[in-house]
Amino acid sequence: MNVGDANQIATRRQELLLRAAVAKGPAALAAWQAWSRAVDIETDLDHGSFRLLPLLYVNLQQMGVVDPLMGRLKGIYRQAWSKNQTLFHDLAIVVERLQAAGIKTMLLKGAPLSLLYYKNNGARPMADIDLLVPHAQARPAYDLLVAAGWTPTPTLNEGLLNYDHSLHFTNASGRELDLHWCLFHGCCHGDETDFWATAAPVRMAGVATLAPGPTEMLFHTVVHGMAWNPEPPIRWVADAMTLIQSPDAAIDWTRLIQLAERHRVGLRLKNGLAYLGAAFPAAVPPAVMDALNHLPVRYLEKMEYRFLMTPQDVRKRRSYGTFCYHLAVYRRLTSHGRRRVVGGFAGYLKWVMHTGSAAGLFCRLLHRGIRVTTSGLLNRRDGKTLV
Amino acid sequence: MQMMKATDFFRINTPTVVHETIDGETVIMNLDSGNYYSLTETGVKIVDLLVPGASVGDLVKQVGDCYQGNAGEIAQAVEAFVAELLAEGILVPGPGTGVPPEPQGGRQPVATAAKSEFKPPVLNKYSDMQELLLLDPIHEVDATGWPSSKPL
Repeated sequence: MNVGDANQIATRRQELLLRAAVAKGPAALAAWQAWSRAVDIETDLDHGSFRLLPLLYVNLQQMGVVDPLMGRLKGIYRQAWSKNQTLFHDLAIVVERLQAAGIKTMLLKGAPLSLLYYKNNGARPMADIDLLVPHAQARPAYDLLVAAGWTPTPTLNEGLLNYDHSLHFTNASGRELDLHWCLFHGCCHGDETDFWATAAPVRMAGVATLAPGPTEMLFHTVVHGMAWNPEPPIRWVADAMTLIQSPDAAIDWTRLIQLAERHRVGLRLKNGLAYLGAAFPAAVPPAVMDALNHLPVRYLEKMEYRFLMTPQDVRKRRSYGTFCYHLAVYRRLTSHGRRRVVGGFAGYLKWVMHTGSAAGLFCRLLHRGIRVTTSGLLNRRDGKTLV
Repeated sequence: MQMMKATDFFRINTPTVVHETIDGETVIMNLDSGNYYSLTETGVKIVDLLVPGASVGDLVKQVGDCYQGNAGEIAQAVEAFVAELLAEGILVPGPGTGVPPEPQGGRQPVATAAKSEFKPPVLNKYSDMQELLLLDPIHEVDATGWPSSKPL
Protein backbone atom coordinates (compact mmCIF):
# COMPACT_ATOMS: atom_id res chain seq x y z
CA MET A 1 0.00 0.00 0.00
CA ASN A 2 1.38 3.40 -0.83
CA VAL A 3 1.41 6.51 1.36
CA GLY A 4 -1.35 8.11 -0.71
CA ASP A 5 -3.72 5.24 0.08
CA ALA A 6 -2.90 5.43 3.81
CA ASN A 7 -3.71 9.15 3.78
CA GLN A 8 -7.03 8.38 2.15
CA ILE A 9 -7.89 6.10 5.07
CA ALA A 10 -6.96 8.41 7.96
CA THR A 11 -5.19 11.72 8.51
CA ARG A 12 -2.55 12.03 11.23
CA ARG A 13 -5.12 13.48 13.66
CA GLN A 14 -7.66 10.78 12.86
CA GLU A 15 -4.99 8.17 13.46
CA LEU A 16 -4.25 9.65 16.90
CA LEU A 17 -7.93 9.52 17.72
CA LEU A 18 -8.20 5.94 16.53
CA ARG A 19 -5.27 4.95 18.73
CA ALA A 20 -6.71 6.79 21.73
CA ALA A 21 -10.05 5.04 21.22
CA VAL A 22 -8.85 1.53 20.39
CA ALA A 23 -5.41 0.94 21.91
CA LYS A 24 -4.83 0.17 25.59
CA GLY A 25 -2.51 1.56 28.24
CA PRO A 26 0.29 4.08 27.60
CA ALA A 27 -0.10 4.01 23.80
CA ALA A 28 -3.74 5.08 24.13
CA LEU A 29 -2.96 7.73 26.75
CA ALA A 30 -0.14 9.25 24.70
CA ALA A 31 -2.40 9.36 21.63
CA TRP A 32 -5.22 10.95 23.67
CA GLN A 33 -2.90 13.66 24.99
CA ALA A 34 -1.51 14.42 21.54
CA TRP A 35 -4.99 14.42 19.95
CA SER A 36 -6.59 16.63 22.61
CA ARG A 37 -3.72 19.13 22.25
CA ALA A 38 -4.07 19.21 18.47
CA VAL A 39 -7.86 19.24 18.12
CA ASP A 40 -10.48 21.66 19.38
CA ILE A 41 -13.65 19.57 19.36
CA GLU A 42 -15.76 22.70 18.94
CA THR A 43 -14.15 23.67 15.67
CA ASP A 44 -11.85 20.97 14.27
CA LEU A 45 -13.92 17.82 14.28
CA ASP A 46 -14.95 15.96 11.12
CA HIS A 47 -18.02 13.74 11.29
CA GLY A 48 -16.01 10.53 11.03
CA SER A 49 -14.00 11.54 14.11
CA PHE A 50 -17.15 12.62 15.95
CA ARG A 51 -18.53 9.11 15.56
CA LEU A 52 -15.49 7.70 17.35
CA LEU A 53 -15.99 9.84 20.46
CA PRO A 54 -18.29 7.43 22.33
CA LEU A 55 -15.66 4.69 21.97
CA LEU A 56 -12.98 7.17 23.03
CA TYR A 57 -15.02 7.98 26.13
CA VAL A 58 -15.38 4.29 27.07
CA ASN A 59 -11.65 3.69 26.64
CA LEU A 60 -10.63 6.80 28.62
CA GLN A 61 -13.16 6.06 31.35
CA GLN A 62 -11.82 2.51 31.71
CA MET A 63 -8.31 3.97 32.08
CA GLY A 64 -9.50 6.41 34.74
CA VAL A 65 -8.67 9.54 32.74
CA VAL A 66 -9.68 12.80 34.41
CA ASP A 67 -10.09 15.70 32.00
CA PRO A 68 -12.43 18.68 31.64
CA LEU A 69 -13.65 17.20 28.33
CA MET A 70 -14.87 13.98 29.97
CA GLY A 71 -18.28 15.49 30.81
CA ARG A 72 -19.05 16.30 27.20
CA LEU A 73 -17.56 13.01 25.99
CA LYS A 74 -19.81 11.17 28.43
CA GLY A 75 -22.76 13.13 27.07
CA ILE A 76 -21.86 12.10 23.51
CA TYR A 77 -21.73 8.50 24.73
CA ARG A 78 -25.14 8.85 26.46
CA GLN A 79 -26.68 10.27 23.30
CA ALA A 80 -25.23 7.48 21.13
CA TRP A 81 -26.53 4.91 23.64
CA SER A 82 -30.01 6.45 23.54
CA LYS A 83 -30.09 6.61 19.73
CA ASN A 84 -28.92 3.03 19.42
CA GLN A 85 -31.50 1.82 21.93
CA THR A 86 -34.33 3.44 19.99
CA LEU A 87 -32.99 1.92 16.76
CA PHE A 88 -32.70 -1.56 18.31
CA HIS A 89 -36.20 -1.30 19.76
CA ASP A 90 -37.89 -0.18 16.53
CA LEU A 91 -35.91 -2.46 14.24
CA ALA A 92 -36.42 -5.51 16.43
CA ILE A 93 -40.13 -5.17 15.62
CA VAL A 94 -39.28 -5.19 11.89
CA VAL A 95 -37.06 -8.26 12.26
CA GLU A 96 -39.81 -10.05 14.16
CA ARG A 97 -42.36 -9.28 11.42
CA LEU A 98 -40.05 -10.42 8.64
CA GLN A 99 -39.30 -13.65 10.46
CA ALA A 100 -43.00 -14.24 11.14
CA ALA A 101 -43.50 -14.00 7.37
CA GLY A 102 -40.87 -16.71 6.84
CA ILE A 103 -38.11 -14.33 5.73
CA LYS A 104 -34.61 -15.08 6.99
CA THR A 105 -32.79 -12.10 8.47
CA MET A 106 -29.18 -11.29 9.30
CA LEU A 107 -27.91 -8.09 10.85
CA LEU A 108 -24.89 -6.55 9.12
CA LYS A 109 -22.33 -3.91 10.13
CA GLY A 110 -22.93 -1.78 13.25
CA ALA A 111 -25.71 -3.60 15.08
CA PRO A 112 -24.08 -7.05 15.30
CA LEU A 113 -20.66 -5.48 15.95
CA SER A 114 -22.15 -3.49 18.79
CA LEU A 115 -24.11 -6.37 20.29
CA LEU A 116 -21.51 -9.13 19.92
CA TYR A 117 -18.07 -7.55 19.97
CA TYR A 118 -18.19 -4.00 21.36
CA LYS A 119 -20.58 -5.51 23.94
CA ASN A 120 -21.69 -1.99 24.64
CA ASN A 121 -24.78 -0.29 23.29
CA GLY A 122 -23.31 3.20 23.15
CA ALA A 123 -19.70 2.82 22.01
CA ARG A 124 -20.54 2.35 18.33
CA PRO A 125 -23.01 4.98 17.05
CA MET A 126 -25.30 3.97 14.21
CA ALA A 127 -27.38 5.98 11.80
CA ASP A 128 -29.35 2.97 10.66
CA ILE A 129 -29.63 -0.79 10.88
CA ASP A 130 -28.44 -2.98 8.01
CA LEU A 131 -30.49 -6.08 7.42
CA LEU A 132 -29.63 -8.87 4.95
CA VAL A 133 -32.32 -11.13 3.53
CA PRO A 134 -31.85 -13.88 0.93
CA HIS A 135 -31.97 -12.51 -2.63
CA ALA A 136 -35.07 -14.56 -3.39
CA GLN A 137 -36.87 -12.99 -0.42
CA ALA A 138 -35.94 -9.37 -1.16
CA ARG A 139 -39.23 -8.59 -2.92
CA PRO A 140 -41.51 -9.97 -0.16
CA ALA A 141 -39.32 -8.24 2.46
CA TYR A 142 -39.67 -4.98 0.54
CA ASP A 143 -43.47 -5.38 0.31
CA LEU A 144 -43.72 -6.12 4.01
CA LEU A 145 -41.65 -3.07 4.96
CA VAL A 146 -43.73 -0.78 2.74
CA ALA A 147 -46.94 -2.20 4.26
CA ALA A 148 -45.47 -1.51 7.72
CA GLY A 149 -45.07 2.19 6.91
CA TRP A 150 -41.42 2.29 5.81
CA THR A 151 -40.63 4.51 2.82
CA PRO A 152 -38.01 3.26 0.35
CA THR A 153 -35.64 5.50 -1.60
CA PRO A 154 -35.95 4.78 -4.50
CA THR A 155 -38.71 2.23 -5.06
CA LEU A 156 -37.62 -1.31 -5.84
CA ASN A 157 -37.29 -2.36 -9.48
CA GLU A 158 -35.75 -5.24 -11.38
CA GLY A 159 -32.60 -3.23 -12.16
CA LEU A 160 -31.94 -2.66 -8.47
CA LEU A 161 -32.55 -6.31 -7.66
CA ASN A 162 -30.28 -7.46 -10.48
CA TYR A 163 -27.43 -4.99 -10.21
CA ASP A 164 -27.50 -3.31 -6.79
CA HIS A 165 -27.21 -4.69 -3.31
CA SER A 166 -29.46 -2.71 -0.95
CA LEU A 167 -32.22 -0.16 -0.55
CA HIS A 168 -32.61 2.58 2.04
CA PHE A 169 -35.84 2.99 4.06
CA THR A 170 -37.04 5.53 6.60
CA ASN A 171 -40.11 5.51 8.81
CA ALA A 172 -42.31 8.27 10.25
CA SER A 173 -40.19 8.45 13.42
CA GLY A 174 -37.07 9.09 11.36
CA ARG A 175 -35.55 5.65 11.95
CA GLU A 176 -33.47 4.35 9.06
CA LEU A 177 -32.99 0.87 7.68
CA ASP A 178 -30.93 -0.54 4.80
CA LEU A 179 -32.44 -3.69 3.35
CA HIS A 180 -29.66 -5.76 1.72
CA TRP A 181 -30.07 -8.70 -0.59
CA CYS A 182 -26.34 -8.83 -1.39
CA LEU A 183 -23.35 -8.18 0.85
CA PHE A 184 -21.87 -5.23 -0.99
CA HIS A 185 -22.15 -3.43 -4.31
CA GLY A 186 -21.11 -5.72 -7.11
CA CYS A 187 -21.30 -8.90 -5.07
CA CYS A 188 -22.46 -11.90 -7.05
CA HIS A 189 -25.92 -13.03 -5.93
CA GLY A 190 -25.46 -16.29 -4.11
CA ASP A 191 -21.97 -15.44 -2.90
CA GLU A 192 -23.42 -14.61 0.50
CA THR A 193 -24.31 -18.29 0.94
CA ASP A 194 -21.19 -18.72 3.08
CA PHE A 195 -22.39 -15.92 5.32
CA TRP A 196 -25.67 -17.71 5.99
CA ALA A 197 -23.89 -21.03 6.57
CA THR A 198 -21.54 -19.64 9.22
CA ALA A 199 -23.94 -17.12 10.79
CA ALA A 200 -23.97 -16.68 14.56
CA PRO A 201 -27.03 -16.08 16.73
CA VAL A 202 -27.59 -12.60 18.12
CA ARG A 203 -30.42 -10.96 20.09
CA MET A 204 -31.47 -7.39 19.41
CA ALA A 205 -33.93 -5.90 21.92
CA GLY A 206 -34.97 -9.40 22.89
CA VAL A 207 -35.51 -10.62 19.31
CA ALA A 208 -33.36 -13.49 18.05
CA THR A 209 -31.80 -13.17 14.61
CA LEU A 210 -28.45 -13.86 12.93
CA ALA A 211 -25.13 -12.09 12.54
CA PRO A 212 -22.18 -12.94 10.28
CA GLY A 213 -19.51 -15.12 11.87
CA PRO A 214 -16.49 -13.15 13.12
CA THR A 215 -14.32 -13.90 10.08
CA GLU A 216 -17.10 -12.92 7.69
CA MET A 217 -17.75 -9.80 9.79
CA LEU A 218 -14.09 -8.76 9.55
CA PHE A 219 -14.12 -9.44 5.81
CA HIS A 220 -17.25 -7.33 5.32
CA THR A 221 -15.94 -4.55 7.57
CA VAL A 222 -12.67 -4.15 5.69
CA VAL A 223 -14.09 -4.57 2.18
CA HIS A 224 -16.91 -2.14 2.86
CA GLY A 225 -14.60 0.33 4.57
CA MET A 226 -11.97 0.46 1.86
CA ALA A 227 -13.65 3.02 -0.35
CA TRP A 228 -13.64 6.77 -0.48
CA ASN A 229 -16.55 8.30 1.41
CA PRO A 230 -17.61 11.94 1.87
CA GLU A 231 -17.66 11.18 5.62
CA PRO A 232 -14.16 9.97 6.59
CA PRO A 233 -14.80 6.21 6.90
CA ILE A 234 -12.27 5.69 9.71
CA ARG A 235 -14.85 3.91 11.85
CA TRP A 236 -14.15 0.68 9.96
CA VAL A 237 -10.66 0.71 11.47
CA ALA A 238 -12.12 0.80 15.00
CA ASP A 239 -14.63 -1.93 14.04
CA ALA A 240 -11.92 -4.16 12.60
CA MET A 241 -9.63 -3.65 15.60
CA THR A 242 -12.48 -4.35 18.03
CA LEU A 243 -13.15 -7.62 16.20
CA ILE A 244 -9.49 -8.63 16.06
CA GLN A 245 -8.96 -7.83 19.76
CA SER A 246 -12.20 -9.45 20.94
CA PRO A 247 -11.74 -12.68 22.91
CA ASP A 248 -15.09 -13.77 21.45
CA ALA A 249 -14.00 -13.43 17.83
CA ALA A 250 -11.71 -16.22 16.69
CA ILE A 251 -10.65 -14.98 13.26
CA ASP A 252 -9.95 -17.76 10.77
CA TRP A 253 -7.30 -15.95 8.72
CA THR A 254 -7.08 -18.71 6.10
CA ARG A 255 -10.79 -18.46 5.49
CA LEU A 256 -10.54 -14.67 5.36
CA ILE A 257 -8.08 -14.94 2.48
CA GLN A 258 -10.31 -17.51 0.76
CA LEU A 259 -13.25 -15.11 1.03
CA ALA A 260 -11.17 -12.34 -0.54
CA GLU A 261 -10.20 -14.62 -3.43
CA ARG A 262 -13.71 -15.85 -3.93
CA HIS A 263 -15.20 -12.36 -3.99
CA ARG A 264 -12.27 -10.96 -6.05
CA VAL A 265 -11.47 -8.28 -3.49
CA GLY A 266 -8.00 -9.41 -2.47
CA LEU A 267 -6.52 -5.97 -3.12
CA ARG A 268 -9.04 -4.19 -0.91
CA LEU A 269 -8.49 -6.70 1.89
CA LYS A 270 -4.71 -6.62 1.51
CA ASN A 271 -4.50 -2.83 1.65
CA GLY A 272 -7.01 -2.60 4.47
CA LEU A 273 -5.13 -5.13 6.59
CA ALA A 274 -1.80 -3.53 5.65
CA TYR A 275 -3.12 -0.26 7.04
CA LEU A 276 -4.25 -1.97 10.27
CA GLY A 277 -0.87 -3.68 10.61
CA ALA A 278 0.98 -0.39 10.16
CA ALA A 279 -1.24 1.61 12.53
CA PHE A 280 -1.61 -1.11 15.17
CA PRO A 281 1.42 -3.39 15.33
CA ALA A 282 0.56 -7.08 15.83
CA ALA A 283 -3.00 -6.59 14.59
CA VAL A 284 -2.46 -8.89 11.61
CA PRO A 285 -0.25 -12.01 11.62
CA PRO A 286 2.73 -11.55 9.25
CA ALA A 287 1.92 -14.85 7.51
CA VAL A 288 -1.49 -13.45 6.56
CA MET A 289 0.05 -10.37 5.01
CA ASP A 290 2.52 -12.57 3.20
CA ALA A 291 -0.28 -14.72 1.78
CA LEU A 292 -2.25 -11.64 0.73
CA ASN A 293 0.82 -10.19 -0.96
CA HIS A 294 1.00 -13.31 -3.09
CA LEU A 295 -2.63 -13.22 -4.18
CA PRO A 296 -2.92 -12.61 -7.92
CA VAL A 297 -4.63 -9.30 -8.62
CA ARG A 298 -6.38 -8.91 -11.94
CA TYR A 299 -6.14 -5.70 -13.93
CA LEU A 300 -9.83 -4.93 -13.51
CA GLU A 301 -9.60 -5.40 -9.76
CA LYS A 302 -6.76 -2.87 -9.63
CA MET A 303 -8.76 -0.40 -11.68
CA GLU A 304 -11.84 -0.96 -9.51
CA TYR A 305 -9.78 -0.37 -6.36
CA ARG A 306 -8.29 2.81 -7.76
CA PHE A 307 -11.77 4.04 -8.69
CA LEU A 308 -13.19 3.24 -5.23
CA MET A 309 -10.42 5.11 -3.43
CA THR A 310 -10.92 8.20 -5.61
CA PRO A 311 -13.09 11.09 -4.38
CA GLN A 312 -16.50 11.32 -6.02
CA ASP A 313 -15.85 14.60 -7.87
CA VAL A 314 -12.62 13.25 -9.38
CA ARG A 315 -14.26 9.97 -10.42
CA LYS A 316 -16.56 11.84 -12.78
CA ARG A 317 -13.59 13.02 -14.82
CA ARG A 318 -12.15 9.54 -15.21
CA SER A 319 -14.16 7.93 -17.95
CA TYR A 320 -11.82 5.01 -18.54
CA GLY A 321 -11.55 4.33 -14.79
CA THR A 322 -15.32 4.50 -14.46
CA PHE A 323 -15.76 2.12 -17.37
CA CYS A 324 -13.27 -0.35 -15.84
CA TYR A 325 -15.01 -0.09 -12.47
CA HIS A 326 -18.38 -0.97 -13.99
CA LEU A 327 -16.82 -3.78 -15.99
CA ALA A 328 -15.25 -5.16 -12.81
CA VAL A 329 -18.59 -4.97 -11.00
CA TYR A 330 -20.37 -6.62 -13.90
CA ARG A 331 -17.74 -9.38 -14.10
CA ARG A 332 -18.21 -10.07 -10.41
CA LEU A 333 -21.99 -10.02 -10.70
CA THR A 334 -21.81 -12.69 -13.36
CA SER A 335 -18.94 -14.66 -11.86
CA HIS A 336 -18.97 -18.36 -11.00
CA GLY A 337 -21.48 -18.92 -13.83
CA ARG A 338 -24.26 -18.67 -11.28
CA ARG A 339 -26.35 -16.06 -12.90
CA ARG A 340 -27.22 -14.75 -16.29
CA VAL A 341 -27.79 -11.03 -16.37
CA VAL A 342 -30.55 -9.99 -18.73
CA GLY A 343 -29.17 -7.77 -21.50
CA GLY A 344 -25.52 -8.49 -20.65
CA PHE A 345 -23.05 -5.67 -19.97
CA ALA A 346 -25.04 -3.29 -22.20
CA GLY A 347 -28.10 -3.93 -20.04
CA TYR A 348 -26.05 -3.20 -16.94
CA LEU A 349 -24.70 0.04 -18.44
CA LYS A 350 -28.22 1.10 -19.43
CA TRP A 351 -29.24 0.71 -15.80
CA VAL A 352 -26.17 2.56 -14.52
CA MET A 353 -26.72 5.45 -16.91
CA HIS A 354 -30.48 5.56 -16.36
CA THR A 355 -31.34 5.07 -20.00
CA GLY A 356 -33.95 2.70 -21.31
CA SER A 357 -32.66 1.93 -24.80
CA ALA A 358 -29.50 0.97 -26.64
CA ALA A 359 -29.70 4.23 -28.65
CA GLY A 360 -30.00 6.22 -25.43
CA LEU A 361 -26.99 4.41 -23.99
CA PHE A 362 -24.95 5.15 -27.14
CA CYS A 363 -25.89 8.86 -27.00
CA ARG A 364 -25.00 9.12 -23.31
CA LEU A 365 -21.63 7.42 -23.79
CA LEU A 366 -20.88 9.64 -26.79
CA HIS A 367 -21.91 12.77 -24.90
CA ARG A 368 -19.79 11.85 -21.88
CA GLY A 369 -16.81 11.03 -24.11
CA ILE A 370 -17.02 14.41 -25.85
CA ARG A 371 -17.44 16.26 -22.54
CA VAL A 372 -14.45 14.58 -20.91
CA THR A 373 -12.23 14.99 -23.98
CA THR A 374 -13.13 18.68 -24.28
CA SER A 375 -12.53 19.26 -20.58
CA GLY A 376 -9.16 17.49 -20.86
CA LEU A 377 -8.11 19.59 -23.85
CA LEU A 378 -9.17 22.82 -22.15
CA ASN A 379 -7.30 21.92 -18.98
CA ARG A 380 -4.19 21.08 -21.01
CA ARG A 381 -4.44 24.40 -22.88
CA ASP A 382 -4.75 26.22 -19.53
CA GLY A 383 -1.67 24.41 -18.23
CA LYS A 384 -3.62 22.28 -15.70
CA THR A 385 -3.05 18.60 -15.30
CA LEU A 386 -6.11 16.45 -15.65
CA VAL A 387 -6.40 14.47 -12.43
CA MET B 1 -52.16 5.17 45.07
CA GLN B 2 -52.43 1.66 46.45
CA MET B 3 -50.52 1.02 49.67
CA MET B 4 -47.22 -0.78 49.05
CA LYS B 5 -46.64 -3.97 51.05
CA ALA B 6 -43.19 -5.14 52.17
CA THR B 7 -43.79 -8.42 50.34
CA ASP B 8 -44.62 -6.79 46.97
CA PHE B 9 -42.10 -7.68 44.28
CA PHE B 10 -41.02 -5.46 41.42
CA ARG B 11 -38.80 -5.83 38.40
CA ILE B 12 -37.42 -3.57 35.69
CA ASN B 13 -39.93 -3.31 32.82
CA THR B 14 -37.73 -4.96 30.16
CA PRO B 15 -37.53 -4.89 27.16
CA THR B 16 -39.54 -1.63 27.09
CA VAL B 17 -37.16 -0.11 29.61
CA VAL B 18 -33.41 -0.24 29.03
CA HIS B 19 -30.78 0.93 31.45
CA GLU B 20 -27.04 1.05 31.85
CA THR B 21 -24.72 2.16 34.61
CA ILE B 22 -21.58 3.94 33.61
CA ASP B 23 -19.14 5.82 35.77
CA GLY B 24 -21.44 6.08 38.79
CA GLU B 25 -24.55 7.09 36.86
CA THR B 26 -27.49 4.96 35.78
CA VAL B 27 -29.21 6.06 32.60
CA ILE B 28 -32.66 4.68 31.85
CA MET B 29 -34.88 4.94 28.77
CA ASN B 30 -38.53 4.07 28.52
CA LEU B 31 -38.75 3.24 24.83
CA ASP B 32 -42.56 3.42 24.80
CA SER B 33 -42.92 6.85 26.39
CA GLY B 34 -39.65 8.23 24.99
CA ASN B 35 -38.61 9.49 28.42
CA TYR B 36 -34.97 9.49 29.49
CA TYR B 37 -33.89 9.35 33.13
CA SER B 38 -30.68 9.71 35.04
CA LEU B 39 -29.85 8.51 38.54
CA THR B 40 -26.82 8.98 40.73
CA GLU B 41 -25.74 7.89 44.22
CA THR B 42 -28.58 6.19 46.16
CA GLY B 43 -30.69 5.86 43.02
CA VAL B 44 -27.95 3.82 41.32
CA LYS B 45 -27.75 1.49 44.34
CA ILE B 46 -31.51 0.93 44.42
CA VAL B 47 -31.71 0.10 40.69
CA ASP B 48 -28.77 -2.30 41.15
CA LEU B 49 -30.69 -4.07 43.88
CA LEU B 50 -33.86 -4.11 41.76
CA VAL B 51 -32.34 -5.66 38.65
CA PRO B 52 -32.98 -9.30 39.58
CA GLY B 53 -36.35 -8.45 41.15
CA ALA B 54 -36.74 -7.54 44.78
CA SER B 55 -39.46 -7.08 47.37
CA VAL B 56 -39.93 -3.67 48.90
CA GLY B 57 -39.09 -5.16 52.31
CA ASP B 58 -35.76 -6.56 51.04
CA LEU B 59 -34.96 -3.32 49.32
CA VAL B 60 -35.57 -1.21 52.40
CA LYS B 61 -33.45 -3.55 54.50
CA GLN B 62 -30.55 -3.63 52.06
CA VAL B 63 -30.52 0.10 51.49
CA GLY B 64 -30.59 0.51 55.28
CA ASP B 65 -27.56 -1.83 55.53
CA CYS B 66 -25.62 0.33 53.09
CA TYR B 67 -26.28 3.80 54.43
CA GLN B 68 -26.32 5.67 57.72
CA GLY B 69 -29.58 7.33 58.65
CA ASN B 70 -32.93 7.06 60.36
CA ALA B 71 -34.50 3.69 59.45
CA GLY B 72 -38.00 5.16 59.18
CA GLU B 73 -36.86 7.93 56.86
CA ILE B 74 -34.92 5.48 54.68
CA ALA B 75 -37.97 3.20 54.38
CA GLN B 76 -40.21 6.13 53.48
CA ALA B 77 -37.77 7.45 50.86
CA VAL B 78 -37.23 4.02 49.27
CA GLU B 79 -40.97 3.34 49.10
CA ALA B 80 -41.62 6.76 47.57
CA PHE B 81 -38.86 6.17 45.01
CA VAL B 82 -40.25 2.75 44.05
CA ALA B 83 -43.69 4.33 43.67
CA GLU B 84 -42.20 6.98 41.35
CA LEU B 85 -40.45 4.31 39.24
CA LEU B 86 -43.74 2.43 39.01
CA ALA B 87 -45.60 5.56 37.94
CA GLU B 88 -43.03 6.17 35.20
CA GLY B 89 -43.37 2.59 33.93
CA ILE B 90 -39.75 1.85 34.76
CA LEU B 91 -40.80 -0.85 37.20
CA VAL B 92 -43.68 -3.27 36.94
CA PRO B 93 -45.05 -5.58 39.62
CA GLY B 94 -43.54 -8.97 39.07
CA PRO B 95 -42.17 -12.00 40.78
CA GLY B 96 -38.64 -11.80 42.07
CA THR B 97 -36.10 -14.56 41.89
CA GLY B 98 -37.06 -15.76 45.35
CA VAL B 99 -33.56 -14.94 46.49
CA PRO B 100 -32.92 -11.49 47.87
CA PRO B 101 -30.43 -9.74 45.59
CA GLU B 102 -26.78 -9.66 46.58
CA PRO B 103 -25.62 -6.23 47.52
CA GLN B 104 -22.54 -5.02 45.62
CA GLY B 105 -19.39 -6.32 47.27
CA GLY B 106 -21.08 -9.34 48.84
CA ARG B 107 -23.54 -9.98 51.62
CA GLN B 108 -21.33 -9.02 54.57
CA PRO B 109 -22.83 -6.22 56.64
CA VAL B 110 -21.25 -2.92 55.78
CA ALA B 111 -19.15 -1.57 58.66
CA THR B 112 -20.73 1.51 60.16
CA ALA B 113 -17.57 3.53 59.59
CA ALA B 114 -17.69 2.77 55.83
CA LYS B 115 -21.35 3.74 55.46
CA SER B 116 -22.13 7.00 53.80
CA GLU B 117 -24.99 9.27 54.80
CA PHE B 118 -28.32 8.33 53.19
CA LYS B 119 -29.55 10.87 50.66
CA PRO B 120 -33.02 10.36 49.24
CA PRO B 121 -32.74 9.18 45.62
CA VAL B 122 -33.59 11.69 42.90
CA LEU B 123 -34.98 10.66 39.52
CA ASN B 124 -33.91 13.22 36.91
CA LYS B 125 -36.37 13.06 34.05
CA TYR B 126 -35.99 14.35 30.49
CA SER B 127 -39.07 14.23 28.28
CA ASP B 128 -39.31 14.58 24.51
CA MET B 129 -36.64 12.19 23.37
CA GLN B 130 -37.01 13.22 19.72
CA GLU B 131 -35.89 16.73 20.57
CA LEU B 132 -33.15 15.54 22.90
CA LEU B 133 -31.69 13.29 20.23
CA LEU B 134 -31.38 16.28 17.91
CA LEU B 135 -29.46 18.32 20.48
CA ASP B 136 -25.87 18.97 19.37
CA PRO B 137 -23.87 17.16 22.09
CA ILE B 138 -20.80 19.34 21.57
CA HIS B 139 -22.06 22.89 21.12
CA GLU B 140 -25.47 22.95 22.81
CA VAL B 141 -24.69 21.29 26.15
CA ASP B 142 -23.12 22.33 29.44
CA ALA B 143 -19.90 20.87 30.88
CA THR B 144 -21.74 17.80 32.25
CA GLY B 145 -22.71 16.88 28.69
CA TRP B 146 -25.85 15.69 26.92
CA PRO B 147 -28.75 15.80 27.80
CA SER B 148 -28.07 18.89 29.95
CA SER B 149 -28.42 21.76 27.53
CA LYS B 150 -26.42 24.97 27.84
CA PRO B 151 -28.33 27.74 29.61
CA LEU B 152 -29.67 30.27 27.10
